[in-house]
Amino acid sequence: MTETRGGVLTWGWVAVVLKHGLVSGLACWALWVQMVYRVPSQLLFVLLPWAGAATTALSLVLLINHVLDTVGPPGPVRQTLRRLEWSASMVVRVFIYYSLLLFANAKLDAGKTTDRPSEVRAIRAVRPVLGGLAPYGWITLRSREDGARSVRLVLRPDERDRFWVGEAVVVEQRAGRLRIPWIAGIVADRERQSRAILEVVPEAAQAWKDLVDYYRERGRYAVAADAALGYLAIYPGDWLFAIQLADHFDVAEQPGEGVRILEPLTQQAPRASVAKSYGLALARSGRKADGAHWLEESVRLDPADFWGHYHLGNTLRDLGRVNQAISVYERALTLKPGFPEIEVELGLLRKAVLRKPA
Amino acid sequence: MGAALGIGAVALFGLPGDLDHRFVRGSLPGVRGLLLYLATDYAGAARAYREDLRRSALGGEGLGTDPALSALLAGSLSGAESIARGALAVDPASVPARLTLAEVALQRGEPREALALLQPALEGRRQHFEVLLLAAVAHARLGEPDPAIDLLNRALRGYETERPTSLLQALEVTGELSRRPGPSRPVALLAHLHRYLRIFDSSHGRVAVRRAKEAIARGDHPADAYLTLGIVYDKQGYPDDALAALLQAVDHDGRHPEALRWAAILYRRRGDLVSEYQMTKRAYEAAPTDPFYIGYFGEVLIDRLGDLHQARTVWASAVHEAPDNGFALEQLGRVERFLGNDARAIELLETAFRLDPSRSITRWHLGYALIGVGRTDDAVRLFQEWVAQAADNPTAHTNLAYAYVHARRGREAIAELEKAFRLGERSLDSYEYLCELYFYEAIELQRSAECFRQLLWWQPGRPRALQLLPEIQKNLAFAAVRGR
Repeated sequence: MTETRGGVLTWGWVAVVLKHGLVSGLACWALWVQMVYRVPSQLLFVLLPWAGAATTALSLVLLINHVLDTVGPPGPVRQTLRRLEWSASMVVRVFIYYSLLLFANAKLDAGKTTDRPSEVRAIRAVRPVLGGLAPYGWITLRSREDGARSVRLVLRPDERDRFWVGEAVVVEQRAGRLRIPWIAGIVADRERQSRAILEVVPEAAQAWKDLVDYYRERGRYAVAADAALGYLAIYPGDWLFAIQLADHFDVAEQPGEGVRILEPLTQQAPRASVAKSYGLALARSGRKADGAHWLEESVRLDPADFWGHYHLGNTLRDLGRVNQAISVYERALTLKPGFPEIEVELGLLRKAVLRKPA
Repeated sequence: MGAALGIGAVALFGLPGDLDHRFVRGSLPGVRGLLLYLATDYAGAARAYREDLRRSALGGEGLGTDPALSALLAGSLSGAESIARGALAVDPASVPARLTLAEVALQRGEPREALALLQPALEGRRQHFEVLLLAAVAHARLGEPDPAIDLLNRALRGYETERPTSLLQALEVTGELSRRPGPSRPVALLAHLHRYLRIFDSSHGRVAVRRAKEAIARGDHPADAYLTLGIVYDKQGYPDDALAALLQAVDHDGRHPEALRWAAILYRRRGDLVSEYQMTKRAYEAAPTDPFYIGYFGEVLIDRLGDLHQARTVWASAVHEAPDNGFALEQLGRVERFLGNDARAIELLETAFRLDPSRSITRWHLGYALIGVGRTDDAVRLFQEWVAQAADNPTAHTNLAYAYVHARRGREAIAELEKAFRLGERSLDSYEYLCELYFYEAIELQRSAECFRQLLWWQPGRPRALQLLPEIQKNLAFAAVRGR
């Protein structure tokens, strides 16, 4: 198909539509990048309205220029419109290249996240003029570390109703591969919120637990254990919480913290599950003899518990108390016949005993 | 004249988009009612709609199972009265009979008589919406805005209505009060009535706001007016303005429980738990014997904060006030269980369960309290009964499975959990438990590994799955060695 005057669909029109689609698509992508890999920069807030206006102008000018191309020879109006097209496309290009830079900076960033405790100072959404979706909104945050410093960040549509003025938040900042600091997320400051609740309601179990989870999720295991001890001092009957937390510490290879939180519970009325968790945490943290003692206590309290026997057998084996380990493993197998690991371990230990010189 | 104005209004603006079907009727009196309603002649509209209901009832339409109400709908006041009195003689606590008699009294212009009829129902623990609404209408007719506003606020804490006539009573009195000359118009009460009518037609929200602002300017029940303003702003989608208005209400009356509760609701939506707690506590302190605010504060204490010691005090006082309050008994039982006082928890939960055996949540708490003291067979029996009553309920099967595990009946636990998932159980925790049971109880290693892998695909990073999967794989390797 060739371009002809009065043609319904010509290559020229196809090109205009493609160019328009490409520019609009890239501008949308650039805006998405600004929302996802945002940077605390004032430049963006200067650029955003201009980029929006330029994208609209560019679409319009592309259309007008194309219509004029089909009408007659070039003139001063056409020349002016061409300059306008060039200027608009320049602004759009700068915006897209800047977004591309931010995209690379964030995507290639393998660095750690730094938490910046902040407070929400203002939230604004750009209201759509003719209905439909608001193009963007922003949030102003004041750093708690440096009270004088405020930053303004673009808000994604899903974040518009999530924050309120005065709320304590944490800005998760990362250094950026190209050394342009960027914001990986804005989340509620659960530490500050939980502490605020505990100031008013010191016995709020949920706030204590949230605090423990918050520290644990951020790898601050010792502080998490301290908070857990604070909670257990108020609710000493919640041994299940302590056991579950000890389990988390075990997965995170922090059995020592498990020992710390379970220790006070061993002073209470004997309970098989507490003794088992405590014994396991002791054994995993290198105190195998103490661990064996508590695991023995656990199987004494609950002789039908297979896992108590399993852990006790393993600990005795590690301590070199082979005959005792064999006897415990044998008891374990009566509780759960055919358990592969125990069968194999038992076989190995029996062989070792046989090989041992008299 | 009113109907002509209505036609003009429809021609200019069309029908309001969210107008309730009760106001859009096909009959001639119904259309007349709509036109009068649109012309804001609410009293005339109510009378026309009543005529529409009468014609429908005579044609056999819209009649329910209550013969007294049917007679009332058919326009036979004496017939309705006679049937309702008969019903009341058989059951003096019958709320529908009292409602019909009160409506008859109101239509005869005897609001004092209506109030006397409603009084016994107002004294009960359970507050019936329509009893409160009709009592408010009666007080409004008597020119007593204070109790009318109080009753409307209590009614609107939980809207539920089935009788078509009570709405018309409120509409009629709104029309009558609106027509009063400016200075004698009870604007605060009108603001509340329009807040109620907003449920059926959102355009009343604007009128409620206007009346509330007039009331504030006049100093007519300013706290209640601010409350109405706050609630309507919230319904209109302006939560910040709503909270500001509610805080104004609290400034005017620091012991206005409903304003405090609404402020708490808005703080909750923000995620500001401290302020939510403070407002809820103040609402409870302002009305410490009202089960509604006890329930609200109790819920914040247990489910939001976990302040079990304070929750125990609140619920113990509620049980002390009303020892047959099943919900309070259940909540106190829950708290005692969390605090490790299993024997006391069982005692309370058993009483609550006897009062209402259909409440699954009470059964649930009781079952786990029984497990807590080692009475696993009793717990199994309790959950088996649940399964027998609700065989298609996945939750019943899941809980029976948990009880089986505690009773060391692992195979049966697996079967119940599998059944629960076939019936639609969605909990990942229960799925994780099933994976564990495959390993611990059945030593089905391959199945357990697949189960955990599926779980980790759904939710990566689950600690228990991460902890157990290597154990299972190790055992699979041992099983392979043993097999060779």
